Amino acid sequence: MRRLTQLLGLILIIQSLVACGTSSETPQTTTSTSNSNGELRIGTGINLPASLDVAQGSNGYNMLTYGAGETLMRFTPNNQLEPWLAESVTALDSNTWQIKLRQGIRFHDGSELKANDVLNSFNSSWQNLSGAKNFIPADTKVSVVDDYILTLTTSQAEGSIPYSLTNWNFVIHKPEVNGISILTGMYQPISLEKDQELVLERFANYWDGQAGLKKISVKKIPDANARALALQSGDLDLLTNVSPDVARGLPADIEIQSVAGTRMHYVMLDSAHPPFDDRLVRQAMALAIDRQALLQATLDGQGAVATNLYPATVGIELVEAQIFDPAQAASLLDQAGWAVGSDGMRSKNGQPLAFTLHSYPGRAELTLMAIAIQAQLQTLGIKVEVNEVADIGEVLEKGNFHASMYSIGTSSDPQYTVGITLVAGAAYNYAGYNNPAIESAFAELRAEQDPSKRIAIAKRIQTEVKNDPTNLYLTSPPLISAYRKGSISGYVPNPNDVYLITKDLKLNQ
Amino acid sequence: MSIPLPQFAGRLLSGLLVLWMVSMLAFLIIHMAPGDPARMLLSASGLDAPPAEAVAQKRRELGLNRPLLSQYASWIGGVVQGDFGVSYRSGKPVWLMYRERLPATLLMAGLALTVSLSIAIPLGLISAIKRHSLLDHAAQFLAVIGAAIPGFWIALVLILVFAAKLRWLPALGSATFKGMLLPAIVLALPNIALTSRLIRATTLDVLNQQYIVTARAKGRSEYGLLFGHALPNIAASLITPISLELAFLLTGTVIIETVFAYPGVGRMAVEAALVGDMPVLGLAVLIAGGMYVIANWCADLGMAALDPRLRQNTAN
Repeated sequence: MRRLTQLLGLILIIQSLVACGTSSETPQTTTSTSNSNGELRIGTGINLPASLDVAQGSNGYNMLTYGAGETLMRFTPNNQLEPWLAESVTALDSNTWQIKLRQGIRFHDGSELKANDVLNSFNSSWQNLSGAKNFIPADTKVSVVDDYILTLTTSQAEGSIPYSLTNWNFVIHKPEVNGISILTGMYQPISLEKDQELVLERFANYWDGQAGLKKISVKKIPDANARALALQSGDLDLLTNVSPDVARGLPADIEIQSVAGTRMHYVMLDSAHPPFDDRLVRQAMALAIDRQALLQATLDGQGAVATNLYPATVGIELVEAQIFDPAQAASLLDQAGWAVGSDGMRSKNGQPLAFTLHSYPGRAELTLMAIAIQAQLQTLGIKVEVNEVADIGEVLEKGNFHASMYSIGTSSDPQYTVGITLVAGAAYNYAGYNNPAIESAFAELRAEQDPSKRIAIAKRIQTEVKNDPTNLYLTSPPLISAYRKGSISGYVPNPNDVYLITKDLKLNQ
Repeated sequence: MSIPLPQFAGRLLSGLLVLWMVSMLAFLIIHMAPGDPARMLLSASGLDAPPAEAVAQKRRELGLNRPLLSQYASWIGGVVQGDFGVSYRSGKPVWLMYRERLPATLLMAGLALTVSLSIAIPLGLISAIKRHSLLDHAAQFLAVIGAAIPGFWIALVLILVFAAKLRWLPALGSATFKGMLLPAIVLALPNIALTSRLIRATTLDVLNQQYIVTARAKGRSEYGLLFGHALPNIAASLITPISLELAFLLTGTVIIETVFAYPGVGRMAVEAALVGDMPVLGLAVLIAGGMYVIANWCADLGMAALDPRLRQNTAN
């Protein structure tokens, strides 16, 4: 009996040790002053740059994110376009844009940014980065007018140029020296240990004043729970890309910031083949999904539902099109001839209304959403088989799909999302969807330079998406970050994750 | 004690044969795994869905459009000459990448082995001597727990307790004593469980041998029997499992290094697998295979050194 008591005692000690991690702690109020010599330690699960050369891979994305690189234009946290390294970007005529640079901007090597550097930087991007030409055509002529003024002349009207100048493919850089690009940001990359750690230090001659931190180290920690525990242990100061389920388990002394991002999760339908070659069926599908329920079930209610091709966060006026209306969806399916049988499932000419919904593990919530959609459509008499595949690109390229979960990063430029998903030949238009009304509106949008007129054209496109959907827009996932309460100040969550580090971000003492 | 040359040559050849077969299997499995390395690499470079033409170009660049046999021949031809290729992702020579990371893994495996043996040996011996005591039962219980609970879960619990709550040790791994301690303990736990049970069983077996019974009849104490007579025989039978344990520790760091974000080769192999970086993954598999081959050689040599009967058999 005594031995049993000893054993039970041991078990209780272990249990209490484990349980202490799940108990909530009393929030602490901290009154602190900022520490301008602090080192901010960031934990992330996202890939670090492969090298410090922004003219390779997606390194420019990382350099922009961590405050080392800058572009000529940028988006504010409210998704308003504003000049950054440029003082202004103005249209001279339908094909020509004039860029006036700010004076006194220094590269990390101490030299001043001149128009000629911008020309070289653009050429480097077009030459080395395959995505660059998708934003600004590679045949664009760049002319240096003087040290601080240059012009971009496109072969056809390109109204999206000011927006494209925000893209990470166009981080302004001088060619790399010893594998490190010469940039202009408030922090200067010092070292990179591949897949482990990126270290940056404050750039003393930053053109916009002194940044709030002496040093930033970004550690890649693949396991989400280990990242969260490292924050709690004090090994890290800031976590990015926290998943909703991990955020839910964080104790009360951790501040959680959640903002709907500019990414869009959606279902791509193969509009070229049955059953989705019938517009009525596609319209019914768009109305048959309860997006709020999806958001609740898969993202803990965080993020935002999507009702058209633009996420609510990008600042483009929306035409609400895809709103949950099961009665209308059922009516449309009836009109299309898909009748409900005695088993509650729909069929037409002996063929059941059934399809396979592909998904992939790259974004964990996508397959969960697919399963939820399967359950929702079942109630309307539609049979869905969910198939998660490792390489979704292979499936889509072969055109071997009925429907597929997908996710893209979008932009506040109304042209961007249409251009990559809906027009003929677009990179993500795998089903070959072709809508003449959208094609012509897109051509107009491309040529239009006036922001308000571009929004008006975008509204027309959204109306056409409502009438003739090919993608079922679902949700914008949240960007969640976490830090210990009172430990940092000046942190402003931005729906564009590339603006993580700002000048005012500071550690508190 | 030395092994005759023909036998040594035979073992060397069989080891190389094993490595060759491992290399072929590894190459086949890597290429049969779902996912196109070219597409995975481009996706890892930030392209949501790389265009078909970019994928095709990447395949050409990496030589992935050649027949599989030709790709294998090029790779193994390079390996034989000491050229393990360059990483698809970073463009750096693979061997250089391993040289940077291998010391951290070796240090952690060494610490894990030290922890494992320094707990497992006394625990196993005491369990055998104090058979059916509370200590024996507790050791058996802990052995089952240690072997049954997944390492990543134990890792998270230890981080929670010792890093997040008590703040005694860092949550993130590093090549320092404090930074290695938690990962080494997690890595050692299943081995402590298995080795201590093995030592207990071997000790009991040896303690029941006729010569021990005779010595006991002459009045030697249990500890005297153990340290004076039994230990050399117990040690000989443990050489093989301990050699294999070391190989396991060196190759079994994949999950632990990932959870602790430890800068070793295991984590590098995981990152390579996620993006289909075949040259990096290929060398990881070869090193793992090589570890086991070497561990077996060491076990044979150690056994021959400790057990005169084996030396006689070898000589005959």
